[in-house]
Formats: sequence, structure tokens, C-alpha cells
Amino acid sequence: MLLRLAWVTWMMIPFSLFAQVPDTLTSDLRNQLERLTEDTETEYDFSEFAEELEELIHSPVNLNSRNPEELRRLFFLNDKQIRNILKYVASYGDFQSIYELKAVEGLDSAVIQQMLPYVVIQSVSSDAMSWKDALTRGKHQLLVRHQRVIEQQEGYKTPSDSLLEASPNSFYQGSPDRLLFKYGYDYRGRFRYGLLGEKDPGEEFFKGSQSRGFDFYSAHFFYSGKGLLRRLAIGDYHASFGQGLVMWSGIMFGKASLTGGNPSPARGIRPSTSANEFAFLRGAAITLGKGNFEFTALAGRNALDGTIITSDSLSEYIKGIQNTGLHRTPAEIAGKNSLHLTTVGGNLDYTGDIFKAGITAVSVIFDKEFQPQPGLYRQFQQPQKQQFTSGIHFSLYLRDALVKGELARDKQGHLAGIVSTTFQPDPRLSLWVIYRNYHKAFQNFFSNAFGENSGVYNEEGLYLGFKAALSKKVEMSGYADYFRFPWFRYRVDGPSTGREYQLRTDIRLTRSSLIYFRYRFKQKALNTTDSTRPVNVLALPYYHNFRLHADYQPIATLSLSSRVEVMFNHPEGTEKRRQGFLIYQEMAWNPSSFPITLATRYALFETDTYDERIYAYERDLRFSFSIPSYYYNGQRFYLMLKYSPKPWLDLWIRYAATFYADTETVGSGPDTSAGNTRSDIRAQLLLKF
Amino acid sequence: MRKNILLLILTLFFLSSRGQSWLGFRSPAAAGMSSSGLMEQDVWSAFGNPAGLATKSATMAGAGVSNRFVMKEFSNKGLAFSAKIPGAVVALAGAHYGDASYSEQRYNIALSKQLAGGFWSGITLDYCHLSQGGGYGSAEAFTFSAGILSQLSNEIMLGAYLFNPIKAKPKGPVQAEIPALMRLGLSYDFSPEMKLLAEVEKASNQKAGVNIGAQYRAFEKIYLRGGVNTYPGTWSFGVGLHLGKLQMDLATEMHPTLGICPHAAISYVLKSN
Repeated sequence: MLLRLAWVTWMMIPFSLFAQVPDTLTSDLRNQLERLTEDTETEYDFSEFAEELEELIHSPVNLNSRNPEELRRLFFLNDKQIRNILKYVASYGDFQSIYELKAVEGLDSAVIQQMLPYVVIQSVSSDAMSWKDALTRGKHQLLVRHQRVIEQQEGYKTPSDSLLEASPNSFYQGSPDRLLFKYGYDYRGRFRYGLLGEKDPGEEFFKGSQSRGFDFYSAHFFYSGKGLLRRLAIGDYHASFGQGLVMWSGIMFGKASLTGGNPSPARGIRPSTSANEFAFLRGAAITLGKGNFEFTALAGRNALDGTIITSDSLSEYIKGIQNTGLHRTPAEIAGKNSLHLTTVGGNLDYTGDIFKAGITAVSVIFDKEFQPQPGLYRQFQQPQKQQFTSGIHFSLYLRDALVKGELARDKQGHLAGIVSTTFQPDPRLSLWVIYRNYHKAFQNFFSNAFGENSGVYNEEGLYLGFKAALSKKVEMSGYADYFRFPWFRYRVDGPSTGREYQLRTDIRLTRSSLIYFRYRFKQKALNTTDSTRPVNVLALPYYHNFRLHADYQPIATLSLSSRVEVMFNHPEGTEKRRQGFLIYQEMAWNPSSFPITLATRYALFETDTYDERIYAYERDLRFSFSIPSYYYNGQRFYLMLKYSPKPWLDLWIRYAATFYADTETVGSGPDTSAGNTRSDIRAQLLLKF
Repeated sequence: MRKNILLLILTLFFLSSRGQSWLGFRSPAAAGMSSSGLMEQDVWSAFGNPAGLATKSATMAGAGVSNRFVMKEFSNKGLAFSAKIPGAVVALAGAHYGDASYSEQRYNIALSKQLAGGFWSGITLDYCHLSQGGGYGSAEAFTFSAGILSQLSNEIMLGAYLFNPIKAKPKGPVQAEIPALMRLGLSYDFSPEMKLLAEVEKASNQKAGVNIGAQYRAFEKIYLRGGVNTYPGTWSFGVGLHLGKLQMDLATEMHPTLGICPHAAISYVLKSN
């Protein structure tokens, strides 16, 4: 007890550093989001992620719950960290104060800082839930958002009849506004329901093809309990088991993970609350639990977008699946809901003290045949009408190590496997080894696992990572990833290899100032652009990326960030290098005397081509994340104002603009606008009652 | 005539590699470290980073001259005056670059204020004037700049400076551009005698460059300085003599192709904080 008191007292001093505004993300989370966007190379809708954070703020995780499921809601923690928290409570009793977190093995200050806004300390009895409370004492939330690009884009102009006839798909049917409404009810994360409607830019609204208003509607109902019925999801939901080889819908951090590549644990079923129109399940799922066993059954039927082709025999084929969720042009509207996907699956998990194992199986049936696609790189990845994948997974604690693995088999008998080890020989040092091997023809619609490829197939790789606290102020982390693709890939006409290294040093100068330096190297084969050869030859392009970043808070009400990032790209491996450069200064002011937050950034950037683009997280409306890429030559600026006149009311308005040098138009195709500026305005209202 | 052609070529080369770019006057103390003046903390901060004016809160006057490639046509003259007022420091500064055939002038009024312990900020309102001889005429514009200095720890200071983010377009018969410019930098005090600094500078019409420099207080009154930059690739050295309220600095920069650029300035503290 004395020892514990000493810990607590000692911890009190440096901990004021962790008092932070939950509206902002920690540097680590921002990095993960940037990284994820770089990896997926699309503007990902992070609203689901934002919402998880939001939900955590409203119903924080009780550190004393002794329930792994509850702690798993802190999705940025890995299995080992969760286990150590449980172990701590088991050995020392309830947490009396959050300052005790530092005494938990495996939680460094960065992780604790990330946890703090989302945890509480309560006695366990308050975990009980009555249905009356669940129905009446939860929180309602209503969100309305509008955003639009200010410049007029070609696709929104009124075309002449002849032009429209010549290229009907160059013009959008609807207005350039994006509209979103979202209603949700939440009782401490245990009982939730909600409804969402979204109109993307260019889509019609209450007219034409959209007589029901929004293009996309989503609804969910979710219950989480502690008896036999552990979880129930009806409507739109996500499911994730094992390490994602069989079933993982929704966000997967993979390499982007804070924990240095240790994928965050699977979370079973949970509601889908974002406007992402792809990669979720629509139907129902149930998890039953008894003792150490949990059983989940899930079923769903999703409508997807595709291009329909009618063959000579008049049977319909699908040419490919669109996952953008955009229905703006006649062609996109025609493809909407053109095929359906029926999913049935199950999972059985056993969770013991040091051993956990489970089996998962998923059957996926499309209601139309796919037309085979040309290209050698697609030879083994022609979509199958019926897919059935099953797999086994396990995790095992061996002293300071955690070993996890999963092996999956698809309908044709192709295998995919992953095994990872987290080793913590010292509380200040973590090491990771992850090996994955995915057959070139492995095919499963719902796979989403650690790897370099966007899909789980045609890859073998070894990832080695570390994170070391060298002193109280200095932390180093890094990884090396070696990968091999046994078969052709898009624009890679031959088996190929690649590698990636990253090294990052964080220096916490004072309580409120942090500087980090990050270096990354990546090399990955690609066809040469040399068109004089009769066949494509592989080149080994590579890039070096350097970043220096500082976060500092000279005054309690003022947060500042500065960043310089440079990229040296060697596109053919030998050709003269190309460069990308970004410099920015950001400021967020949160005066204590008024209920406002004002955030602004100014950036200058110059990249030789689009390939040297640099991604950087920007502050945005809550639930909405911006991680734009900066490319070509120009300046970018944004200004955001948040006003919270009442505890139940938040308003946001945000203006962002990019000014390009040496150009007369911005964008391409129907998105082209005249002039050198591209700007957008967003506004949002959030009611909580 | 031949000289004029040479001048024109040099001017074009010089302006395209690292023109005056409306930088105002860079003090020899900064130039000796290949620095842009971002981390400077005296009267010349009016051009380098106005946040630096308030760090010492002194009433001060300075005059200086620098010369590009030892050619009088490329000379730059600067004058600056700063004064402490209640709660802030104001400054007036002016720089004149070039000669009768081509000149750029920038005058500004600066306001600098300490916002918290270890945190200073400053803004300037700038008037930029360009004139070209031979009857071509002139152009002028108003713009602004802003900067901060933040003590991240006892040894490390961070500076950030932004000039002309609005990309003000000079009005007049002469075509001219004033680029947007941003600087970020860190300085590290190894000891009261030894200071290191590193800066990144990016103007909207030029490549980014890194400046690295050091200052060593060799004797009580004598400072030695040296530095390099990656764009356009100069190296420099300098010396400073600080005699109480009087401060004299000399520096020389070596441009990779164009040669020597000497700098000299003198400043006097009228009233210290």
C-alpha cells in the first residue's frame, strides 16, 4: 500500500501534462490517420473512427471494470496492454486514481496521454444496467452538416443538349452540396440506436433518382450486455475477428498502428455509424457468451454498385464493383444497387487466462456472375460469385511475449496465414515480429489484414518493429518491413519485392512541448515508363521522406504546431530524383473566457509531380477528419471556428483554400474549375440532449 | 553598355536564384551564420521575425549596409529603430536595395509583444516599392508579416515567421511579384557562449533551403559566427564586437558562383529594458 501511495504521489507531478482538450487528437493518433491515408491513397471517411472517439468521450471506459470487452473499446491499445491493465486491477485492486496508470507495465506516456480523455475510474457496481435507465437516461445526439466547393466545377454547369448527348456522364445530376444528418442515442455504450442520411456532392436530393431524399441511409440498433446475450446488432454493423483474414469490416490500422504494427485487437460486432457506403454489413448479428466461450452468428444482405454488362445470351454480368458510394452521373446511378451480396458467418471464441483461440467462417454469395477481367495481374483474382472462407486463430501469453496467429482457407483451398509476436523484455522496450503469407489466389471479400497490399492476397512479408523509451524524455521507434509479391500486380509485370524502413525519435522537451523527427524509406517494384521496349521491365523506384514536427503550448489556451517535411523520390531508381516539400504553421486558440475555439493553418508546398505529394492531418469539424495531400506548387490555408454557446449545442464553420501557382484550372474531368484556387466551406451543428 | 548587359544578366540570375525577394535588410549577425534572421533578437528582427523585438524589449537604433558580389548596383542599405512602449515594443524599419536602374524598397512598422513567459509574437505592416529606371516606372503594394518565438525548453527556442501570405500583387506599370515566404527554425544554446541554429526557409517562387549556423562568444565582447545554407549554397562567416551599448557586426557570405557578399552594421542601445 505504501509503495502504491508513493507511486501515486510521484506520478502526480508530471501528470498535469496530460490535461488536454478531448477535441484534439494526440500527435500519435494524427500520425496514424496520416499514415492510413497514405497507405490507402484515398480520402478515407474517418467518421466512424471519429465517432468511436466521441462515444468514448461520452461513455468513457471504466478502468476498474475487469472486463476485457470494455477495455477493448480503447481500440488503440494492444492485447498486451489490455491484459496488463486487467492484471494490475487483479493484483492491486481497483484503480484509485488515473495517476496509477503509469505503474501499469507496457503503458508509456504517449499511450497514457491517448487514453486519458476516454477513461474513468468507477467502482464496479455502477456497471449494472436497468432497461428503464437504458431507455430513458441515455444521450441523444443530432448532427447536421453541410459542405461544398466554392468554385464552380465543370460537371455542375448546365450543358447544351448536344454536349449532354455526346458525354452524358461528364455532368452531375445534383448540386455540389454535401449534406449529412445523423441522429444517435447512446446509453453508456451499452444500448445504442441511430439513423443517418447522406447526400454526396453531385447527387440529387428529393428529385430525379433520389425521390426519397438522401442517396444513402443507414440505421443501427445495438445492445451490449454481460449475461448470455453479450451483443446484438441489427441494421448496419461491423464485425471483426481474429486478425482479419476471414472477417474484418471497418477500419484496420495495420502498419499505421501506434503500437508499431501490432494490429489492434478484433472487437467482434459493433454498430456501423459512419457514412461510408462500403465495407459494412446490413442485417443482424448476435453474440452469446457463457463462461470463457463466446459465439457469434451474423447475416447480412448488402446492395453494391457495379457496372452491368448484358452478354449475347442476355444474361447479366458484373464488370467490377464500385466502392465510392457516389451516384452523380447517369452511369453511376444506373450501377447503383446493381448487385447484392448475401453474407452468413459465425465465430466461436474461447478466452482463457493465457490462451485464446477461435474459429471463424464466412460465406459470401453475389447474385450475379462476374465478367472475367483482362490483365495478367488479375489472373488469380477474378471475383468469384460464391466465396466461403474459414479460419482458426489463437493468441498465447508466454512470459513477456504475446504470440498471435491466424490461418484461413478460401473455397478453392488457397491459404492465408499471419503470425505475430510482441515481446517486452523490459517495460521500456517492445519488439514486434510479424510474418504474413497470403496465397496469390486467396480470395475473400471481407478480409482486411496487416500487409502492404490493399487486399489480402499475393504477398509474403516479414515486419520487425521496436519501440524504446531511452529516457524519460526520449523515445525511439522504428520498423523494417520486407515484402515479396509472388505474382504480377497492377503496373508490375512480374513477381516483385519491396522494403520499407522507418525510424522516429520523439523528444519531450517539457510538459507542453514535443519535437519528433521521422525518417522513412520505401522501395517497391513498378514497371518502367520506357515505352520503347516490347515488354515491360521492372524498375525499383524508392523514396526517402524526412519530417520534423513540433507541438507546443506556450500558453494554456494556445496550441501550436510546426512542420517541415521533404520527400526525395527516385521514380525509376536511377533517374534524376524528384522532390516534394511542405512547411506549415498551425495555431489553435481556445480562450478560457469565451466558448470558442479558433484554429488556423498556413502551409507552403512544392512538389515536382503528384507522386511526391505529402499528406498532413488538418483540424476539422468534429466527426470529420481532413487529411488532404499537398501537391504541385502553392499555398494552403484554413480557418475554423467552433462555438459552443450552450453545453448542448456546438456549431462549427470552416473555410479552407488551396492556391496553386502557374495553373489556370484546378482538378480534372467534371471536377475541373477555372482559376488557380480550390476552396470549400463546411458548417456543422451538433445538438446533445 | 556592356556593363549594363552584364548587370542585367547578373540581376536576372541573382533574382532567379535568390533575389532580394523583399527580405528587407538582413543583419551581419544573421548573415554571418547564413541565417535569415528568424531567431535574431534585436532591432533587425523587424525584418527577420518581429517577435524578436520584444525578447529584449530595448529601445535601439541600427544602420547597416550589405553588398552583393562587391557591386555597388547590388547594395542593400537598412535602417531600423525600435522603442519600448507599455506592454510592447514598436519598430520602424526600412531597407533599400539596388540603384537608380532597379531598386526595391521595403518599409515597415512592427509591433511585438510578449504573450507569456518564453513566448513572444510580432506583426509588421509592410510597404513594398519597386522602381525601374529608364522610364519604366514603379509598382507598390502593402502587405504584412507575422512571427513567433517560443522557448520550448531552457536550451531550445523555436521560431516561425510568415511574410506576405496574401501574395500581394504590386500595382503599377512595372511587372513584379512579391512571393509568400515562410520560415521555421530552432536554436539550441549549448552554453551561454555557444549557440547553434537551424532554419528552413521557403518562398513561394523558390526552392526550399536549409540554413545552419553557429555563434561562439570567444571573448567577453567578441562573437565569432559561421554557417552554410543549402540553397543557393552559400557559406559564411562573421564577427561581432559588442561594447556595452554599442554593437558592431561584420560578415561575409560566399556565393558558389557569384562570389563575395560583405555585410556591415552598427547598432546602439538607447535604453535597455
